[in-house]
Amino acid sequence: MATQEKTTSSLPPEIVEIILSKLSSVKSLLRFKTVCKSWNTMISDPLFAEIHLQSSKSSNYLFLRMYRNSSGRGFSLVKLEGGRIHNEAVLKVHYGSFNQVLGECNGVLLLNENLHARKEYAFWNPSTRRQAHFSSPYIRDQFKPVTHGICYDPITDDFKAVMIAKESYRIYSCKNNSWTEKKGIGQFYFCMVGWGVFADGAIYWVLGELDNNWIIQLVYFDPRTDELKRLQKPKELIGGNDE
Amino acid sequence: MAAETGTPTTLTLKSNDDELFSVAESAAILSVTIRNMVEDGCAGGVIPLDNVDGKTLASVITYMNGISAIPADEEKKKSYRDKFLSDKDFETLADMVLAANYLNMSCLMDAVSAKIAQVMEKKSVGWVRRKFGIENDYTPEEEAAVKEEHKWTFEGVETDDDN
Repeated sequence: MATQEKTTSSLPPEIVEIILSKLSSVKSLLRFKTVCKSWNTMISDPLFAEIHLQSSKSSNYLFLRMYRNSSGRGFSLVKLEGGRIHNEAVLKVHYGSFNQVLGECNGVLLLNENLHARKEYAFWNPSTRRQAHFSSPYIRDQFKPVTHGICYDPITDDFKAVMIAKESYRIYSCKNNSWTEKKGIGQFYFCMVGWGVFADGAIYWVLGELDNNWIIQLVYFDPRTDELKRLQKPKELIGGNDE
Repeated sequence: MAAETGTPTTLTLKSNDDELFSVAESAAILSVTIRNMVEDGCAGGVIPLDNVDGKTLASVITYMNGISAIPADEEKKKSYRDKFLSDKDFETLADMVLAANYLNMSCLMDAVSAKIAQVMEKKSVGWVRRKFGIENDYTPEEEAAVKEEHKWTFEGVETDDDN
């Protein structure tokens, strides 16, 4: 090469952004916030996070493993490499045990512990190692969720947890650290699949409803309106019973 | 544009340091920039590419010829791209990403930017600053604060012996 320490004819920001969006690990991205202020701003932008999420999908396979030790139960994120298990991240728990995953959205997990009467929940993003804990604010809480879900609202840049019980449903906003309770929309008794599935901006559930007979309902939650609604089934399905 | 007369059309490309290159039109039009020139009929004589130097252009043309010789098989194209980029150093890759951007070659752009990202993956902040020619504009206090916030991301980073 002609010059020894040739500093790159500095790449324009739009190309730097394309390159950074192709980094496979969030770990590297977070480290490179330290490079300079403009990189920090770029990497911190929620829009960039979304682009990175899209372009880095399925490049890394990680597994969630439940562990149990003297202080309780929890989860760790592990990677398989060369036939060995490496601990990538561990969910830190102040007390008690987190023993259930209640949903996943954009790589963020919703977990809780249901071994004790306490209702402790956590949002955990294993890629960034960030976690946020919250608990039910209601004293002598009779609320018994049938199912849960987690979603992301891109407009307010907020993660929300949704819990559906028979009489009502509750929404927890991570950003505002606030709970909202709303009147239920049906006598839902069980959820066909473990938890709500986040797809195309909303959470969807397949719920069993008791209305004289058992009916299977499709229900969705839209984080932009904070409303739980029924999804109309196609006409062909309404006619034929128990399809 | 010359009609399909049997003899392949050849274009002459000129780098910004006045090197001339002959390349088959069918390969060169992988570049949308060149394709537009050909379609607008301004590719008759020499096509000047003011933002690409001879060394980089030679490399891009090798890529154009190599990739266009592969039939529509995405797997094979991908392995060609991987092999093509495997021995390139950072400076060459940076020149190529600029050239791919200027020439509007999305497949090369994607491959080179992914390769640069792959090279960067375990590198230190100092390495990145040097290679990208970036000045650290944090005060020592600010830098320490940003670093502290993401302390764990500094574990397992390659040591800085590569200049």
